[in-house]
Amino acid sequence: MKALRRVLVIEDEPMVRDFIRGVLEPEFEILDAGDGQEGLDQVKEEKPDVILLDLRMPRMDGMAVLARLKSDKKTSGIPVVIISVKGYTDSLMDGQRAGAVDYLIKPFTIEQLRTVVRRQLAAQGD
Amino acid sequence: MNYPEAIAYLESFTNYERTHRPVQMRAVKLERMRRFCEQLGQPQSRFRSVLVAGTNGKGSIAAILYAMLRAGGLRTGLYISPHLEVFRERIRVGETAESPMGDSRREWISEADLAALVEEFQPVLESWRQRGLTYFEIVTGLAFVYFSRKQVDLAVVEVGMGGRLDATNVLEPAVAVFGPIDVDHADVLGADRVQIAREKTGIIKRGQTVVSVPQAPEVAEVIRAVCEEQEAIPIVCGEDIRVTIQEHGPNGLQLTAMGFRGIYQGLELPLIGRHQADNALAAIAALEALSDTGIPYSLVERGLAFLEWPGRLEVISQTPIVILDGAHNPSAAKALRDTIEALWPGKRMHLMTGMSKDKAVDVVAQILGPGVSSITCSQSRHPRAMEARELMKFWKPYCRQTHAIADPIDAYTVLVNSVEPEDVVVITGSLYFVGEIRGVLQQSALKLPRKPSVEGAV
Repeated sequence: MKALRRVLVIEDEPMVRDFIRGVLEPEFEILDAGDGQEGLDQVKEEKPDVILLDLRMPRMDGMAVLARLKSDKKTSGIPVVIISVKGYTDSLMDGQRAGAVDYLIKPFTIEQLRTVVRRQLAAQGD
Repeated sequence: MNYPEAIAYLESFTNYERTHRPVQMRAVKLERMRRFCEQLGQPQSRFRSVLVAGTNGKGSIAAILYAMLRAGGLRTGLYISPHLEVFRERIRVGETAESPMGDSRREWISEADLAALVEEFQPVLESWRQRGLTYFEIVTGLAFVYFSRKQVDLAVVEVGMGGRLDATNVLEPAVAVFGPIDVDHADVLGADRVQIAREKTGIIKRGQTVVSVPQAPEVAEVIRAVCEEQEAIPIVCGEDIRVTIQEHGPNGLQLTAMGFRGIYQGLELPLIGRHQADNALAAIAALEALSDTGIPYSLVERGLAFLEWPGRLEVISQTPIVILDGAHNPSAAKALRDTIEALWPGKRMHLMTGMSKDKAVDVVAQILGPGVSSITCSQSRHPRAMEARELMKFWKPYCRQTHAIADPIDAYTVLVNSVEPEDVVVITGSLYFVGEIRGVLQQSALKLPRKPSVEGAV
């Protein structure tokens, strides 16, 4: 049986993590982390196929996580989708410049979430 | 000084919108405001005004009256508080809009004008810093300067809190208007309606016309007695003038108002909630009273078409129905509940709420909580906001599906994706909370370039 593609969700709000998990399972295997450092640890251990990264997190924000991912050869190739909030255009531009391949804007819909994840995984191929 | 600097400078003064007001300061406040206005050149005496007080509805009444005056080509000022999203909403000057649904933002004081005013009066403001001049007093004084310099024909001014000692009470308005008076800000104004009414009727001036929506009997008696003392002319909605509701639907109300000077039939009021009929009638009565000063009262119908009053029972989505309402006290919560049940009977209702610490959260929860399918407690960034987890304790007794999600946009994301298309989502609580959500939801769709490897758009 073909292994499920792995999506790592790095997001500090537990209910948003649960919501994303509820949408993407069972089509994908979902891993999650509640803060930036935990997310980086998970990336190294689990090697996800795509990362959904909330930009607005306490302690280590999404941009800091993104910078670390892109500076490490072992993780720089994993596509990162940044999650921000309507109105924070600058953060999305910064994220794209820093290497994010796509974005989701809260409040996003179930369909938008699935579309972005499927698109990024399709771009990688099987 | 630029606009962000001006805002930051204003907020460096004591701001009772952010903290509780100490009761002992009340006794000296109005005299302080009077002396401050002297240094500003007595701007409050350079334009005619209508002053609107009340526990609820005062903003709506002010906005309706402003719309009617503006529609008639009168240069009209509007002063409201607090703002919903952006400070500049508080101070507006408008004339006839090009179209009924013109963008009201153009009427807001410009960033440049506000910054210039603050910079001009900075030495005066600094001289008052150690004498306790407050944020609200400063903003009110600067608004009055702005109105006088713009040579408004008339300014509609909303009382901040109470009336007798409120900074706006330096005005000598032609007309005073009262929305419903009920218990709120009890730690400052008092715990019963009579006490509160006495504070609010402190705005009534000798010989003035005084308009009131229907009130509780004990409140009506206070208004009547003060009018008699001041030889003011009372006009009571529901007694002296009347309104009937022909239709009440999700797009608003259709009314017939019977004033002193005419019968206004088939009025289309783009606000929902039956209580808005009384607010509209009060605004019409104020407009009619102003006829004695040369302002035409035929502006009623046209004016209502110009009305924009967001965040008050505002429907921002149809599927699911999403309603924003700044209802932060029991009477507003009751009006909200009555309206939802009248317009969307039998629909599953989901609540999302954020409230300030100093509000009667328990009573509001008691009114809105029962029968709701889910409750999501959240919090704005305002310093007085109650933490989401703390807020949840008040709501949990009424609904098993009660959650706490601190960030309002996270809360909305989870909630709106969990409801059915035919459900009703009500986002309510403090105006700061409602304004914060609205500010994000109203942002236009972002158009950002996507990398070449990405095809299609979300």
